[in-house]
Amino acid sequence: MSNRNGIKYYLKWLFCFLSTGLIKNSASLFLIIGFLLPGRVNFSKSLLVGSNQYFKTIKSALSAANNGDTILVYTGVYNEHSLLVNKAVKIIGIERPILTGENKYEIMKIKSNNVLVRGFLFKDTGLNFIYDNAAIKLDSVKYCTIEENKFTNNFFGIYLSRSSNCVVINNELEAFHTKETYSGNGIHLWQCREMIIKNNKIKGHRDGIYFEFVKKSEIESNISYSNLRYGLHFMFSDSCRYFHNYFTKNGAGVAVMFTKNVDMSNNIFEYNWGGAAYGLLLKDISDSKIVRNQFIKNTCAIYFEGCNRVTTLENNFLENGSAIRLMANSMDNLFTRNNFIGNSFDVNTNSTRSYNTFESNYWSEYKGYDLNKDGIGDIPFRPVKLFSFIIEQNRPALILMRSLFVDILNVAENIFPSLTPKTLIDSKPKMTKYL
Amino acid sequence: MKIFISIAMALLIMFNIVACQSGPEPIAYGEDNCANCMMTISDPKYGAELVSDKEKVFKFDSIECLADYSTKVDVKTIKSMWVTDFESKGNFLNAHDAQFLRSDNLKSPMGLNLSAHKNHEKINSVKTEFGGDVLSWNELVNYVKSKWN
Repeated sequence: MSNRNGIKYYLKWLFCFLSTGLIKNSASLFLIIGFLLPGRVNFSKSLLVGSNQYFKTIKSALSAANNGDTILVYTGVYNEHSLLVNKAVKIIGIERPILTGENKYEIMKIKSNNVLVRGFLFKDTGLNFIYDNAAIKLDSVKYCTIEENKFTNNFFGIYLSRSSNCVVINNELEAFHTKETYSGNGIHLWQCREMIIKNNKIKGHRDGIYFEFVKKSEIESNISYSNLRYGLHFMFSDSCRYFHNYFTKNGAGVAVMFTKNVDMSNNIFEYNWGGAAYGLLLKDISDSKIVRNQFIKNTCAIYFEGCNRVTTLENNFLENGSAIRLMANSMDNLFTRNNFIGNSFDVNTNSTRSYNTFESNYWSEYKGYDLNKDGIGDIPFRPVKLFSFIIEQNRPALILMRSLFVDILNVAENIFPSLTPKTLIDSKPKMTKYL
Repeated sequence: MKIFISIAMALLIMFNIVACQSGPEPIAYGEDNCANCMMTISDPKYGAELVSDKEKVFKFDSIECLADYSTKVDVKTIKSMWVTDFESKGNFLNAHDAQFLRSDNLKSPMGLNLSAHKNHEKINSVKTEFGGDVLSWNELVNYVKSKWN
């Protein structure tokens, strides 16, 4: 329809030109037609899909569509799997139509730039361990948007590979598998650049958000909870930022590995309990920042292994089993202006030496005094207790926790430090907590 | 009679001891952690194990983690190394007998995309389907070294 209008408008316009006598020379007329034709004729149209519409299936609408068209899908259940989108179209669901993979197939595969998918419920993709079946898979594309969709009971949810400049926003994903091996990741990115993952809610997948070989991307304001393994899993992904996210009750917390230049700020890491669960597991991370995050009630709030030049600034560590576990192979890390409140252990380490700096933190365990009233304790604080040092070497010794024997040990070590790292001290402990 | 029973018991115990051969033990996917990268092991196509001279079993989420770990420890402390057979999940192959495929279409947990196969026929059929190239264990270790160090 709109196409025909376009041509009409175009002819009218041309007629005006001719009648005013502006164009007398036919060569320039041809030139102008040639110039205007592609832009004018290629008017985008809307294709309607639904049981009472011209197109009954999305597949037929897709094959009839051209680049720039919009496909409007009315509510209903569409048992169409393996939909291939190889044109730059907008696919929009009205009143949340359902696309199902019937527990066997993938649902949608996007292989064109500039595709938008909005307003669907994707459900029941089949398990496939080799092809990683996903509700939506994007491969080698740019400028695509996946927004306001819901996903339930899929193997993988949104799977992006070799893509760039795409946006995944306002989606909700939920899976119900109970075993990690039978569950895929919620939002999975592999070899991508400059992506934005924002305002999504992910629950019950293997890893909520998964980044592997991703560069310069942002993860913002997502809620990732009750996933089987990690809320966020981040590997080999340099120069990415994640901020204002909420990670809670994930099987093993959040893992950030083998990466440079990560900026982690204003996130909440909460309730990650278990022998191998970490609020934040850092392995081989360098030149990164951890700023203004909340770590609440985790078995271990942050675990540092092989980390260099990481700045941990202005975070709150509240009621964790151990706030920081710092392995001997981590160097030149700075911990400053953090609040350590009510943790069973503030810092655990497996080394008698430490090449890291702790400065100006607030420690609720600090029992020093401040005679000159400058807000800074007059005697340094030693966050590593003898007992935390012992359990780092021998985990079962934890059974002695809170016993009188251990208290005596700690006091003795405090007076005559011999085993705990001498350099791991906070020489300027703050008397009151940071607000 | 009592003697018979005690002899039988003794034999049973002996058999038990003999039966306790060192070797790989099943990986509890979703629970065990990789000894190299700390990740929870979750993909049953790629798990691997190292048995030390003291019979301690170290588990890995991927073949590349096993290879990396094996270069970091004293060779004398390694008794045997095992990799999961890609075709029959849960079965282990000795790392030195297995054939390895590096294919970007088979994504392993640590990103080097290595999988282990039983023999020539198996690996060739997988290779024709997914592409990639075949490596021996030693080539694989060198490849992991070059990628990660």
